[in-house]
Amino acid sequence: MTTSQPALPGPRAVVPEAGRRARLARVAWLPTWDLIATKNLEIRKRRGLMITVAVLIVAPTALVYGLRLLFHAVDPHSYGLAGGPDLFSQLSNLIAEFGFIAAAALGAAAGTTDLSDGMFRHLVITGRSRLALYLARIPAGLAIVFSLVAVAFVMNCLVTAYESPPPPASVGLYGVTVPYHLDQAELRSLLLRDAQQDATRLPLQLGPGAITDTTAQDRSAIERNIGSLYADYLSDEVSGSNPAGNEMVKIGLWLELEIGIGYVVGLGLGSLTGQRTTTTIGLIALEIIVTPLLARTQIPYFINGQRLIIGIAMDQLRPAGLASANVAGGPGQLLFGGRGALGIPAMPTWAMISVIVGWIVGWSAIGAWRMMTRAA
Amino acid sequence: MAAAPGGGWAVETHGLTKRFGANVAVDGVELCIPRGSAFGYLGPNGAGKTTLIRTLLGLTRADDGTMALRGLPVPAERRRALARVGAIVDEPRFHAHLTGRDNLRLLAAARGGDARQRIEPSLGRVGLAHRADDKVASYSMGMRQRLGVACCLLADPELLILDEPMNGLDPAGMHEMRAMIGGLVDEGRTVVLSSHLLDEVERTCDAVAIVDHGRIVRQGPIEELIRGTAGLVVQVDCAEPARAARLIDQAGIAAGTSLAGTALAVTLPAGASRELVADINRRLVEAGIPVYGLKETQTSLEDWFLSMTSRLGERS
Repeated sequence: MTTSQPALPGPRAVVPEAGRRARLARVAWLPTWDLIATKNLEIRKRRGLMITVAVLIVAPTALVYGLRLLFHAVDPHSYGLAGGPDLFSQLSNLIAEFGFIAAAALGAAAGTTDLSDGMFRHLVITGRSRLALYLARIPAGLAIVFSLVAVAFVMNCLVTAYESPPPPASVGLYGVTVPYHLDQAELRSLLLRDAQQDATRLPLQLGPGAITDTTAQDRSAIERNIGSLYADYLSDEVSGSNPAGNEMVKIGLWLELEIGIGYVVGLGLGSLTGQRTTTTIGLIALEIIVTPLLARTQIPYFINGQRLIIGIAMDQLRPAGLASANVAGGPGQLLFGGRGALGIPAMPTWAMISVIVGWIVGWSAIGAWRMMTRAA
Repeated sequence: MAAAPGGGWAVETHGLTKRFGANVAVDGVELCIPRGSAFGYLGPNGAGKTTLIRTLLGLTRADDGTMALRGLPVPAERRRALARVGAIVDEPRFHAHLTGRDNLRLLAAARGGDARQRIEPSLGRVGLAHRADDKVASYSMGMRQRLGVACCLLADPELLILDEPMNGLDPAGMHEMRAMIGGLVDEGRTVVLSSHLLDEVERTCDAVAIVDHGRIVRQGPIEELIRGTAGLVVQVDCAEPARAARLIDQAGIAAGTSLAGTALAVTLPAGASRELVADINRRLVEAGIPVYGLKETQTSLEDWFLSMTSRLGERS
């Protein structure tokens, strides 16, 4: 259509800036502290979600110890002390399991609610970098889940440290009495001291046609099996005594990492799908169905594929203090001295770290990319 | 006073195009909105109004063309351009579980700079200070509209883009909103108003653009557009309005006639002189139709808009 357009009125003076200074951030994609703090506020004020997350992370520990402390206080003869190394391990694993689910749900909410509430549009119109808006959600949510995990875990540590029976002085390793806190070399020396007698009790893998008639042969068999014997010793030691302070710190850090990954993956997947419920259900399925299934069954020719599952890589990093006794996990990996509790053969440290970093960076990148390209 | 960061237009687009598959929602739009004006943006449903606004604000990407806000090219200098732009697109929605003040805090944090200091003045200006600590879930639609305007004010905006800001407002609220927009324009700010309420646009805006099928079909000052396109409408009070309408149509001296019951309205051609009114009277009398009165009326924006869109509909 061709029409003659009337002349538009000329431009007027620009509105004064009223003392405003151009204070645009030097690095536009970095979130400001204020942005992180207000996003944290937005998440914290979701009352229903926060109650659910707190119940999942803190309530099991609080409930178990609360009842045990109460029963022990009322009837100390029938009910022993509230804490103990086994319970410590079980509750820590429970915090990891429920915490991952809670963190994933929180991440999914953080990744989708701006969109579903119609705030995403307002935020984009501010001109703030979409990447900065995404990155602000990471520390904002992590601060919440880290705090809750810390509360639950500190509770676990305190009861274990102050309300546990005294540890035994030694471990009964297949009938051989072994003192606590030996390293692998010390265990080897101890077993070799009376090799012939110990060899009759220990489950030594001798190889086809091998016999242990002489002391030299017994010593050789112990030498060959020292790795698995030490792993069994560690398991017995762990299950029989409270973890040391530094081991508790390792376990705490491992829990925070596990829960942090849950949040970051939930956030990334939530941003990608824009669907909070779908994301949460998907990650619950990953944690309680897919990971256990793949971890309990070694699929021939697919073992490396199985190791790409975050739960399996994180299991390899599981601190010794949390590993169940007598499972096929590998002994003494780097970092937390982790030994898997799920029965997948140990993976190289570099591979384990790559999988963990890959999940964190990969899902963050996917979420950020979707946020940057999504029509608001 | 800081210098304007660019040319004299608050909004300027050239050949702006946005497609959704085969559908061209914004089709080569050429739009220039002067700084400091109140500008109406009109069009029937599905004409591409909101898509153009969304494209301007970076909510969706343009497929072709160039655009500038406050003289700054977008998206190249999007952040600087939007630093002093406030906008409500579609209905204003917020985090319902947060208070009005908390929502503004969130947006002020995203804006950075002095935006945080503007929260209280903005709430006061839109009349929400007394409800600022209530959750948005308890707000009426009108209160959310006002909160939307408050959110725009956080930017100390040089340019405000308001999409249907009168939605959900009662008559008093509309009056307040109109006064607020007028006040903002008086302060030298540019207000772009997209609305279906043509009467509101006519009362509030200096100039308009009319969009249809993704294209700007007319733009300019309201008065000139109406005068230049449709001219005067003459209400003819006569004895046989139907025969009178046929007579005038056959004579070909008017742009159009419309008959509603016994009321005959004759639209004069653009630029027609008042002598034509006397000519109509003479022709009717000569045809033996008693004429009781002739009354000139100015075409309203609504009449003009309807005539434009109906013409466009006939052509398409």
